[in-house]
Amino acid sequence: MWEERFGESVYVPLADRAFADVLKKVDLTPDQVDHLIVTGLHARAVGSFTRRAGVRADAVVDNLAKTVGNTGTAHFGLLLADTLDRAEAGQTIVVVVLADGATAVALRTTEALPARRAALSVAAQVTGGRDTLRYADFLNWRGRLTTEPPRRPDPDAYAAPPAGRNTDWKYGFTGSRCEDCGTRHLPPARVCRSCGAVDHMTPERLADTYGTVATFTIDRLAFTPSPPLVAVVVDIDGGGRFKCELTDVDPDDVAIGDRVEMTFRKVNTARGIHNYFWKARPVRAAGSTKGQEA
Amino acid sequence: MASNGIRDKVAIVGMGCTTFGERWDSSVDDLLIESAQAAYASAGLSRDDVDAYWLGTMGSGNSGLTLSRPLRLPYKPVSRLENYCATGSEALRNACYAVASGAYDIAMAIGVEKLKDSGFSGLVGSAPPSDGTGSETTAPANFSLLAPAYAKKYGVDTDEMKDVLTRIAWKNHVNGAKNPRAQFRKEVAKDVICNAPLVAGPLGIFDCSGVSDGSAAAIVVRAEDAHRYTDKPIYVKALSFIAGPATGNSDPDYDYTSFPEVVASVTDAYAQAGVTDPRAEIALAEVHDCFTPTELVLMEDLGFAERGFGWKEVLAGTFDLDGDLPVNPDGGLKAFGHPIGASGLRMMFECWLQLRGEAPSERTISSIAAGKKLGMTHNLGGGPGECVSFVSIVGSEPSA
Repeated sequence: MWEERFGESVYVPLADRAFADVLKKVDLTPDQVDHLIVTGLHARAVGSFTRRAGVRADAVVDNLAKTVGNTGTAHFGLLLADTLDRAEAGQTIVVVVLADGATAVALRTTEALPARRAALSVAAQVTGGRDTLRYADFLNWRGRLTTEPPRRPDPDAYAAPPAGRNTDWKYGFTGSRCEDCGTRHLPPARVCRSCGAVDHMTPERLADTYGTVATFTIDRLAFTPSPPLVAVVVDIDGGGRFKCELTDVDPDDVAIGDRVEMTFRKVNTARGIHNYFWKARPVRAAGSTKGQEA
Repeated sequence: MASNGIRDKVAIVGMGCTTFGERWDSSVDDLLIESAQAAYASAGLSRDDVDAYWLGTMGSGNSGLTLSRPLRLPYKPVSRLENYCATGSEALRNACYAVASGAYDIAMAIGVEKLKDSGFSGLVGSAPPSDGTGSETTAPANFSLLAPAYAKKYGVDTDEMKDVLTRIAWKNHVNGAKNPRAQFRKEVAKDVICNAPLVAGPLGIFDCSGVSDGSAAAIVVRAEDAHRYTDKPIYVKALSFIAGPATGNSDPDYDYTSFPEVVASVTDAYAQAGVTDPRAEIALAEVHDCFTPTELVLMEDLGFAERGFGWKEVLAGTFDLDGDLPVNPDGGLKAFGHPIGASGLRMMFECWLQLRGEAPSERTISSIAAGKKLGMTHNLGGGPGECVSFVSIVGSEPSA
C-alpha cells in the first residue's frame, strides 16, 4: 500500500481533466452545476477533488460515508438515486467516478422527474435501516472470519442453462396469471393448478407487490448467510403464494400476518458462484403506496 | 377408471428386519444380506426360490446391481425404486402387483438405507442442476409449519401444543424401549423432550425421527400358495400410492393442517379393503411419524380422530400401546429410526409380528387379543404442501 498522497497526486489531475472535458462538451461552467457527485475508493482523492471542483457549496452531494459507508461499484448509482430523489426538473447533475482513472458524466433532468420519483427515497431507506449487524457477521460475510457451518452438505451452485431459461422468474420475480380462471402462479406455471388450462398464461411481475406472512418457521439446520434461516410462506396481495427466506428481521419478532415486500438478495456462494434470488423482508415504509397496484 | 386393488390376491409369507441405528460395523451390502437372509429363513426359502426382486433405496445405491451384487443373485430381475421416504413401501407395492399379475410366483421387496456414513445431520438429497430459486429449508422446518397452523386453527395454545407434540415423542420412545431392533431403546422423560435444543420452529431434537442405517425385506406369494410357506400368512388387503400436485406451497387455500395426499391414499385404501370404520376395525397402525406434528395430523387424515380433536386423543392416550388404537407400537420412525428405503417395510414388519402374535410380550397390544385382524402401514415422502403418500392395509385372515 502506497502513501495515500501518491494516489491523490495521480487521481486529482485526472479528475480535473475529466470534469473539464465533460463541462466543455455541454458548454457549462462549474458554478452552473446543480449537483456534483464524486465517488471512488480513494477517499482522500475524492475529498480533494470535490473541494477544488469550483462548484457551489450547496451543489456538493453528500457521499453518505457517515451513514452508509462506501458500497464500491454500486456507490455512484446510490448517490445518483439519492440526488434524483431531490433534484428539480431542468437541473444539471455531474457524476465523477475515480476508479483506475477518472470518468465524468453530465446529466440533465427533465420535466418527467417530479412525477416519477422512487416511492421510497434513499434518505428514508437510510433512516429506516437497521444498524444492529454484529461486527462478527460483517467479517463473516466479507470472508474474513470463518465460522463453523451446519453439519450439512455445502449448498449446490446454480446452473447457468436453467437460470438462463428462467431469467424473468429468477431476476424479475415474474409469475404468471391464468387467462382462463385468473389464478396466479409463483413460480410461473404452464399448467394452471386451479382449472388445468395449459399455456394460457400472462406473465406478471410481482417484485414490487407486497404480501402477508401466512405461516413461518425458524430453520436452525439450513444454510443461510444469516443464520438461523427464517422461512416464511407469503400470500401475495392479489393472489398467489410463495415460500422463501425472510431477511432483515429478528427471528423473535416474526408473526403470522406480518406485511412483507420482496428484495433481491444473496442466497449463497457455491463453487465461487454467487447466487442471488428473492427473499422477503418487512415492509420498509408504512403507508407507502408501493405495491398497491396489485 | 378405477382403483380396483388386489385385495387378498397376494400374501406376505416371510419377513426380515435388521436392527436400525448407527451401524458403523455394517455396509449397505451387509445390511441387505442380513435382511434378505432373515426373510428367506422366515419363509423357509432359499435365494434361488425367489423369482424377482424390488429394491427400494433413496440414495444408498443405483440400479438393481445394488442388490444382485452383494447377494450374488443368479441372473434374476431386480428393479431399483425411489419414491422419497415412501421408497420401501413402493418396493412392496410393486412386488405385490408383479405376483398378483401372475408374472412371477415369488417376489421379494427389500429396502435399505445407510444414512450415517455421510456424517451430515438429517437427510441429504442429490438434486439435478437447478436455477438456484428452490427452497433452502430442511425437512424439520418444512414439517414444523404444521404445528402453529394446527394450533391456530383449533385454538390450542402454544404450551398445550408443545405438550401434545412431547407426548407423541414420549409415547414412541416408550414403545421403542421395548423393541430390541430399535435405534433408541430407552424411555425419555417428558421434560427432557420438551426442553431439548430446538431444530426448527417449535421442534426440538426429540421431535425428529432418528437418522439411521437399516434394512427390511418381505417375501410375497399368491394368496392361494401362502400356506405352503407359513401357517400364518399376512394377506394384502389394500395398497394405495398417491403423488400430489405439489401445489400447497403456492396455493393460498392450503392451510398446513392436513396432507390431502394422505386423505386421498387412505380413502382409496379403505375402499380397496372394505374398511368402513377404521377406528373400530384396525388393530394397529404404523404411521410416518417423521416429526411429531406429522403424527398428530395423520391421526386426523387417516380417520382415527375427528378433525380438530386429534390433539385431545393424543393427550388421552388413545394411540398408546395400551390404547384403543395403538400407533407405532414398534417405536415408529421416532425411536425405531428412519433409514429411508427400509422404513416402509419396517412398518410392515411390525404388522407382521403383531398380527401373527409374535411381538414380544412387553409390546403385545390388546386390540389383537380382542379380535381385530387388520394392520395399517402409512408412509409419506416430501413435506406439507407437496408429498407422496402410501397406505397399506393387511390382515391375518382372508376375507370370508
